[in-house]
Amino acid sequence: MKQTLSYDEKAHRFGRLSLCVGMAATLIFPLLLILVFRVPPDWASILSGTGSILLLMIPVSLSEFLSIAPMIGSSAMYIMVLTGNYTNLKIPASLAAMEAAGLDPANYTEESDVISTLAMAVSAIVSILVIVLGVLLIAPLSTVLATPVLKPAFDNIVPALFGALGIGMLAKNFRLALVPFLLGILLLGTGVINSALVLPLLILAGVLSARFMYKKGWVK
Amino acid sequence: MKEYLEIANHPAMYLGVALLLGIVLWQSAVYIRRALKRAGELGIAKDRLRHAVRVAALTSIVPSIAIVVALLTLAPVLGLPFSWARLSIIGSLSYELMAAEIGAAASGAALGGAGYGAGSFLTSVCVMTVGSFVTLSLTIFGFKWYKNRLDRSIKKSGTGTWGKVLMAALIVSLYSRFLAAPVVEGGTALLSMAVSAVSMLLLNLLIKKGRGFRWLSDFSLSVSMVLGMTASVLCSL
Repeated sequence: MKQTLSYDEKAHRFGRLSLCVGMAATLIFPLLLILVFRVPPDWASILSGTGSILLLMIPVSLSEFLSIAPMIGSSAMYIMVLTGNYTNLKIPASLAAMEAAGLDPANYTEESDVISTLAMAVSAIVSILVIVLGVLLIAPLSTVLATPVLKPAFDNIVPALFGALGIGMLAKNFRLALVPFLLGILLLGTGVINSALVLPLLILAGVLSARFMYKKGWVK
Repeated sequence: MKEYLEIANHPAMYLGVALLLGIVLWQSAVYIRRALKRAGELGIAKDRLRHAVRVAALTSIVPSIAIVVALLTLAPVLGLPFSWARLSIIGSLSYELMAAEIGAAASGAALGGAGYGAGSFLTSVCVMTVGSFVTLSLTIFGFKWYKNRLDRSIKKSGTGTWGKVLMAALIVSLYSRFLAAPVVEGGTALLSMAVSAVSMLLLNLLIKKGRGFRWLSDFSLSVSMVLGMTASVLCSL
């Protein structure tokens, strides 16, 4: 037991360290521009802009954080936050890897933690490699990838990804999916809610309906 | 070519890219080493690890190509180095574009438009950088506490069946978000999703049927995804 705690403890400690380092490192761009390239900062607009984005990001980040953090192991979360692209890359890769290892993503164990950590890290590395390749090939690539013929393919990566990933999960958990799926169609269809808030709302609705069904004994 | 782009695309900007990518690689390497060690302690079979890693790697390829495409759209406005760094760290295209536009608007110009110069670029850069601090700070300061609270409340529910139902509900809700969108949108999005789902079902059937088809399990997700995407291309011709 003590050993388990320290693996997890260490994961958090290193996670915080790496995120702090990353956070400080992102300042390199503004600093390069101001100090090296001597671009005069327009403090008024910088303050105004950062104010707006913070106002926007606080509710969005908070709700995403609260709803996604439970699904992810400790180490995996730190990798994911540092590298971004969660819903369109990291989370699907992690879930797919867990299923490949024969683990039920809903039944979180230490094994799941290890596998999801490896999956996230590998996903981050592969992603970097692919993008480096993409950048090196950017001249020929921009003509190939940007052809209007291929456009629908890239516009539809996320639907294709979740189609393949979701079909198994949904079939097994049909009742749990009912409320969030229908609500999702309603919210996205009517556009009453800012699309950034739809995910946290669906997660909330899904959890509440699951709780309800659980209490009634409709799901086990 | 606008002047600010000369700065944005200056070789020195690539230092930033190298630094940030270096940090990501460092973090991943440390976590991989620890996870592998832990896997050894837990006695997880090596082929399960290999299989999981292969699937994670393969599943990451196509979405990463999409990020390259996103780069192609962002780079003409924000320069290649900065766009590259931003898309590899923390954010995604939708966030970066929005933040860049907020920066542009704050400086009184349209992103990449007539009045958008070095000053506006700097403002966008600052806004995009600071905006990410929210998620970073939440995670640095709040994640461990939050995770421990969650684990404790799941353990408290005794047998942990509620815990499993909760996890399933979370994941299913996440999926629902992205399965509902194509249904609402219709057209090629719905087609891709449907073709991909059906391919996955068929491939899984095939894999279950015969030992000869076991190797397919590494590729079933990627192949289904590509089939879905292909269907949308064919449909649009």
